[in-house]
Amino acid sequence: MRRPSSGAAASSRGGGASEFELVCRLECVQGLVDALTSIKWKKQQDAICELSEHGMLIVVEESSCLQGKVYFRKELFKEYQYHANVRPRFGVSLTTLVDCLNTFASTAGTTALELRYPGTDMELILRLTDESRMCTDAEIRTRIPDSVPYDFSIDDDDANEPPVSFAVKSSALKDAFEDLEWPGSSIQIALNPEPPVVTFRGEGHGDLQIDFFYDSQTDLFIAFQCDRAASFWYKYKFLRATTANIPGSILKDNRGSKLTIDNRGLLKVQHIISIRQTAAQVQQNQDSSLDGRMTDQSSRISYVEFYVLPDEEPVDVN
Amino acid sequence: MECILSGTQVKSFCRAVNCLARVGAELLLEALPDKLILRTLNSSRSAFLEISYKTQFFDSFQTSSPVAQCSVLLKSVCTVFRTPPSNVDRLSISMPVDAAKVQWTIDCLDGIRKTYWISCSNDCEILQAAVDRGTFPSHLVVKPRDLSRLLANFQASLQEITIIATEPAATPYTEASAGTEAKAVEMRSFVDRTKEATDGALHTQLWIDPAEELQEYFHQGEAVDVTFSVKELKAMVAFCEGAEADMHMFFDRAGGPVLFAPRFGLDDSEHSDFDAALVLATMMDSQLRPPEAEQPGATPGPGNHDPGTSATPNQQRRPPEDAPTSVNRSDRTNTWSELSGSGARTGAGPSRGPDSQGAQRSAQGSEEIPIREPPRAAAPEANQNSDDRSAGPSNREPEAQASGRTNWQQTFATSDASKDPAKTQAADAHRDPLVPQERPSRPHFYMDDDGEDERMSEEEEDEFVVPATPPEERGAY
Repeated sequence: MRRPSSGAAASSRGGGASEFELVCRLECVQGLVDALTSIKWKKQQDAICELSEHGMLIVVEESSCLQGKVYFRKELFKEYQYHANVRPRFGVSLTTLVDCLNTFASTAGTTALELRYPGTDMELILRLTDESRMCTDAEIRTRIPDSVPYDFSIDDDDANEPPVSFAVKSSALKDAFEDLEWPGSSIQIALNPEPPVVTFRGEGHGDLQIDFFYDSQTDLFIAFQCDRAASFWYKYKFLRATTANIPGSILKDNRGSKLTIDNRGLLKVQHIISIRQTAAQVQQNQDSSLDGRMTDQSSRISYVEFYVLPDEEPVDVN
Repeated sequence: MECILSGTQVKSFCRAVNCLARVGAELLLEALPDKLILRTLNSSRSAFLEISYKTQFFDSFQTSSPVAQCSVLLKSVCTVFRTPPSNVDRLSISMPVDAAKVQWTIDCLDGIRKTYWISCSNDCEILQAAVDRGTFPSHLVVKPRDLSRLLANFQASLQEITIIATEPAATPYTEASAGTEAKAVEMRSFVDRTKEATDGALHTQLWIDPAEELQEYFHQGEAVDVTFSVKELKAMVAFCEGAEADMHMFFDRAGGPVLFAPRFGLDDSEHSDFDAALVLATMMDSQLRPPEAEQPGATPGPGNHDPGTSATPNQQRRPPEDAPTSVNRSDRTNTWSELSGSGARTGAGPSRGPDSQGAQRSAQGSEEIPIREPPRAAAPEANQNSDDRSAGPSNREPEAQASGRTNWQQTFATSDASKDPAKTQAADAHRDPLVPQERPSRPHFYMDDDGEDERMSEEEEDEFVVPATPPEERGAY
C-alpha cells in the first residue's frame, strides 16, 4: 500500500533513525530498479531480503534449481545507518517492490530513495524523492521468510579444480538464449580450451548449436578462462530466466556477463549493473578513500548473480 | 546439395523465405544441377509460390545427385533467419541426399556461429504449377510501391480483391469528353455476401488509368475480371519491392489463374539469377454482370460476353455493379460502360444452390477458393420493374460513391436532388452507353447510414436480382 504525500515528515511515527534497524539513502534509485528487474522472471515473485552491516541482499529462488541474487554494498549508498544486533531477514513481494519503485522513479532524472526498516508492523518504508522535490511514501508489508536461501558459491580461486569461465557481451548472451528457445527444453553448455570455444546446444524437434569462438580479433569475448573441456546440461527455462529481464539500459552499457561453471556443473551467471552517481557522491567517495580512483570505479557497479543447478543429461532418443 | 551465400544474397534469400512464409506452411526445396527452387502451396491450395535461384546467385553451389528434394517447415526456416541479415557474414545450406535434416549454418560478423538442423521429409509431393506465362492473353506491369499505394485505399482486413480489366480504347462518348482518357482498369473490393459480417463492410472501388499508374498494360477484347486473395498479393508486392523490381501480373479471365512475377529492368542483368512466380487461383464467379440479350440497346460487347459466360452452368450472375469500364473523366458526365448493369437483369444463369460452386477445379487442377453463394430465388424478374431494375445500378452508386476513387475528377458538385432524375435517366443510360449519365453526387465518402447497406443486402438475399429501392422509398441522403 502506498500513500503519496507532498513532502514533509513521513517520520510521523516519531523518533529518529535510531528506531530503525536500517536507514539508508540512495542518490539514484535507477540502478536498484534495474538490478531488481533483472532477477524478476515471474509475474508474481517473492524475494527474501537480508540486511547487514555490509549491505543489502535480495534473493529469489525457484524450486531450488535457480537462484537470483542482488547485492547492494553499503558503499553504493549515500548514507547507510545500520543498527541491529541480529541481521534482519524478511520476505517481501518482489513484484510489489519493483512495481513501486518503477512507478515513482522517473527514468529521466534521478530519483532518490530513502529506505527504512522496520516500520511499526515490520513494514519496509520507502520514500522516493524526485528532482522536483515531490515525495512519495510507500510502505510494503513484509513477512517472515519460510526458507533460508541456499548459499551457493563458486570459488574462483580453487586451486585444485578451478572453474571454467568466460565473459561475453550481455546482449550476445541474451540473443543466444533467445535463439535457443527453438530447440527447447534442455541446453548443453560446453567449453573447450583448444580451440577456445563456448558451445550452446539444444536438441528438440530441431537442433541448434551456437558457437562462440574466442578470437582476440573480435570483441565478442571479454574474458575466457578454460583449462579443460567441460560440458553440462541445464534446463532452458532457467537459462532463459537469467537473461530475459535484463533492462535495456544494462544491455546498452554492455559491461558484460560472466558465466562460471564449477566442476559439479553449478553455473553462475553474473551481470554487471552500473550505478549512476551524482557528481557530489563521486567526489565524496574520492575524498573518503585512500585510493580515490579504485574506490570510485568499484563504487559504481553492482552485480546481479544467478545460480543454476545442472540438469540430468538428456537421454538420446534417436 | 551444398551451397554458400554471403552478403546481399543472404538478404535476398531472407526476403524470399519471408514471402514464402506468408503464403504457405511448408517449404519444398528442390536442388537441380543448375538451380535451387523453393516452393510453397497454401493450405487451401489456392496460392502457389515458386522462387528459384540459379547457380550464379550463390557463392558456391554443388549438387551430388541430379535432383534432390525435401520439405521443411517454413516456421523453422524463419527461425534461422531471425538473425538480422546485416549481422550475417555467411550462410551455408547443406541438404544431404536422403538425410533426415537440412543443415543451415550462419556465420555472424561478431564471431558467433549458429548451426540449425531442421528436420525434413523426403517424401513430399512434387508440385509444379503448369502455368506458362506465354499463355496469358493479358498482362500488366506495376511498380510495387504504386500498387501498395493503391491497395492502401482498401480496408486492411480485405480478403479478396477483384481486378477488372477492359480494353483501354479511348472512346469519346461525348464532345465534352474529347481529350479525356478512359480508365481501363478497376480494382474492387470483393465482399462475400453470404457472410453475416458484411453489413458494415467497406466497399471500395478504384478506377485507375493504366497510362498513369501502370508501367505497362495490355488487354484486348471484352472486359474480364479476376478475383483473388489479397494476402498473398501483398506478400509478393513486398518481395518485389525488396528486390527492386516491378511486378508483372498475367491474367486471363475469372476462374483462370493469375500469375505474378518480378520484372527486372532490361539492363538489370545482375538480377537475372533468380526468379519468382506467384500463381493464385481466382474465383469462378465473374463480378461483371453480363447484360441480357433481350435488353434493348444492349451493346454487342455484353452480348458477346454473355454467351461465353452463361454457357458455364455454374456461373452466377450478380446484380449490376458499377461501370467497370471506361469511366469518362469529364467533369460533367460519366459514362457507364457497355458492361455496366443497365436493367439487364439476367434471366440466364439462374442461381444454383450454394453447393454447386463447391470446389471448382482450376486449370492447374488445384482447388478453387470455395465460393459461397447467398441464397437466392431462382426466378429472375428480368423485365419487370425495369425502372427499379435499372435503378439497381444506381442503387449501387452510393456504394460506388462510398469508395475511394483515384484520379476521378467527377465533381460532387451536383446536389442530391439531381439523383432522382439521374436515376430515371439511368434506365436509358444503361441501355445506351452513348447517353451520358449524371453520376449523383455525394458529399461524403461513406454511406450515410448502415441501414442502406442492410436494406441492400436484405434485398439481395430475397431475390435473385435485386431491385433497387425506388427513390421515393429511400432515406434522405
